Amino acid sequence: MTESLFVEPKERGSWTVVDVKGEIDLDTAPQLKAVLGDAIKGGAINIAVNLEGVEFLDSSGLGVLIGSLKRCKEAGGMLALVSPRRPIRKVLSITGLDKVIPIHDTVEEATSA
Amino acid sequence: MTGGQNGGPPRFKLTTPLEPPYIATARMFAASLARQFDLPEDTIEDLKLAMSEACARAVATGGKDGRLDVAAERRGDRLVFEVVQGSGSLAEGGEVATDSMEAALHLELIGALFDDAESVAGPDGAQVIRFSAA
Repeated sequence: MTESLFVEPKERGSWTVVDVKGEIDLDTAPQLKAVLGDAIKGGAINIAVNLEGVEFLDSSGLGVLIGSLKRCKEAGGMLALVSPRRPIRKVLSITGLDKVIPIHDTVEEATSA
Repeated sequence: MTGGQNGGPPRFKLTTPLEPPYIATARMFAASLARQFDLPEDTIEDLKLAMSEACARAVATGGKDGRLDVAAERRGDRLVFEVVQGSGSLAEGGEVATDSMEAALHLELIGALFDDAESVAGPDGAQVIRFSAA
């Protein structure tokens, strides 16, 4: 069964950086959705989701990212992804999300964009 | 594992409760078999994603008899996977089913990863998502 997802938000200037570790699927996507939702409700509008520690992501995770991007944009902000592994970059490319969500190699790059 | 003794190809089966935590088990099942058959790592990553999507769709459609049924079989140089789907509508019930975008993505992603992906009627009338890799 899926190991628990680790999701930790932290403030970095005008950005909220959300570190994620584990596998994101139908089972664990609600955890990510809850953390991102709480951050947005708490006033975060610029969110960088650090995917460096994410080993797997399917459409359940994509749905969470798209929903959060929409909410950030509605609030005048942005959602960016940091350091997704190659299989995850492929999913983002297949779905065309790499054209919609900015992807950065480092948290520093994302939060200074 | 079944078959293989009387000339037929060995058939590998995984049955779990129809619950989201077991989708990861199905991914491990697919990856383990693919490694046993020496498939490339990039293909194994694609198989894990297709399996996850097929299983998520099975959960969203209610599966069959409350079970998640996955099978795999070697046919020639290909490793063929089948995931039994339910007869429920993706528009009804379930957290995934409430998000039509995610529901549509399941099949689109599987089709994008594997050209031969298809949704067919299984032997007992249940719908089955089938895809294969070499």
